[in-house]
Amino acid sequence: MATLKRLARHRLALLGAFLVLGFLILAIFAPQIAPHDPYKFSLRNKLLPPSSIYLLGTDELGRDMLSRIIHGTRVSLMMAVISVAIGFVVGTPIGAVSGFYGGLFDILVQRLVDILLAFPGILLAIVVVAILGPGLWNAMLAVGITFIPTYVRVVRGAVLELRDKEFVEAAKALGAGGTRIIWRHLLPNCVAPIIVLSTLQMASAILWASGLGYLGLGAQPPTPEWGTMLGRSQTYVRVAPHVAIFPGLAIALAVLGFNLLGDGLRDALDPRLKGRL
Amino acid sequence: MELSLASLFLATAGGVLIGIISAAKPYSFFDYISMLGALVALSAPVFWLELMLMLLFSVKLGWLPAAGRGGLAHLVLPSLTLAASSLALIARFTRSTMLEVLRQEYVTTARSKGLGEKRVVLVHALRNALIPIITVIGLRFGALLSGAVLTETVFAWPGVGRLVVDSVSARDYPVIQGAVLVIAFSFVLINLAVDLLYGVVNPRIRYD
Repeated sequence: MATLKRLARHRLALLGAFLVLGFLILAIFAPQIAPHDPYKFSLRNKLLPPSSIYLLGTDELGRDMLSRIIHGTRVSLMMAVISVAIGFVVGTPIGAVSGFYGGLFDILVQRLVDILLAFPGILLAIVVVAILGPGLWNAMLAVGITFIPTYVRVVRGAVLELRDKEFVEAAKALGAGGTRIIWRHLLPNCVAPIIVLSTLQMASAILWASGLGYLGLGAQPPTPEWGTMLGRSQTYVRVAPHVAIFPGLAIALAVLGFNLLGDGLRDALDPRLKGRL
Repeated sequence: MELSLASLFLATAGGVLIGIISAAKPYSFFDYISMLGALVALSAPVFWLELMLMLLFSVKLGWLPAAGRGGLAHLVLPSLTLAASSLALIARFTRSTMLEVLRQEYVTTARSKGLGEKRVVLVHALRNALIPIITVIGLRFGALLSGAVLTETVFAWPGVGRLVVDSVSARDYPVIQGAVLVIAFSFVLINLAVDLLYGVVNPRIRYD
């Protein structure tokens, strides 16, 4: 409760939460909210500027931009959630075990993480896509894989800090095994950094997934994905700027929302995390 | 690579400068505006920002060339947009580090010695804030290298980044491997340079 109150006092975080909630509602109720069918094309109406029928205009095949952006919310948020989940599910246990037991396993894992982190950002995702082939699911997997090392590092750091605390000693003295200590005593105390990291990773996931889409390596047309829409529309940007402006604006707002919420959560949950995440 | 280096220079110069000014006068008008701008620059996808600036400066105003590689004019838009998010991050980070350093006792000592505020901020505080700032700049170079993949595609710039993308679509694996190796290697080199810079900035850090 105290955390929620602190979060509510943070005005920018509230704005972030508001944006995130808005996009969530758009994603869940996309078919109900969208005024037109996002796949139905009519070449007669292609590249129309915004009007009262097509609020944000139409794209190069005459599809309604607004409806495509609303349905795109679904695709982008789903991609972000799944790729963050991949990073979390794989990275957290590795980080926890590596931090708790140390030893040879820790050294091996950390060097592997070093290697993965030497491929800057989206490049690793591009390499994974190059191996797996382009597509919506492969792009998700690729972005998820790039998140694993970050989770390993953050969880390991948190576990290292807690490992020698008294309550862990007490659990050991009571005869608890390693699995039980990690599961029942260490991970519940790592929730704060994990929540903050996951919120901020959501922002990166949206950026990277749309970046892959833009390059033609992510979601394939006709899937309404923001990055893919931007990539396809680039050719028409001179004659119809609206086809490029609005999908990008949607990405920017969604990313801004998650960034603000993540910053606010960090300050509310654990101010010491500042500078580390 | 040329693009990434130009952007690194821009992001460092701009980011550190804005960060210092914001930290020197926290909660001022300049501070609010620049930190808000930083948030926006961090959130906007780089390829979209590029398209928008291209629309404004090349298509509408006709001041700068829209694409391709050539003289300095060709470098302005791509390097500026590629630098935007790193500049924002460096500015934010410089501000928070400087604010922390400015609270230290030796800063109070310097002030009470009667030194001017400019000297206190630029000499006494900045020197001690430099180490974490350099670390972030080194890490951002990685982001610039991978960001260049997108920037080079938008501006049709013949660089390593676009080579990667083109060879991925062509399934040309040896070229992908080579290009990625070059990028990763230069990232590692920059990190080594950062490690060595620590010793220059702070003589107490020595590598034997």
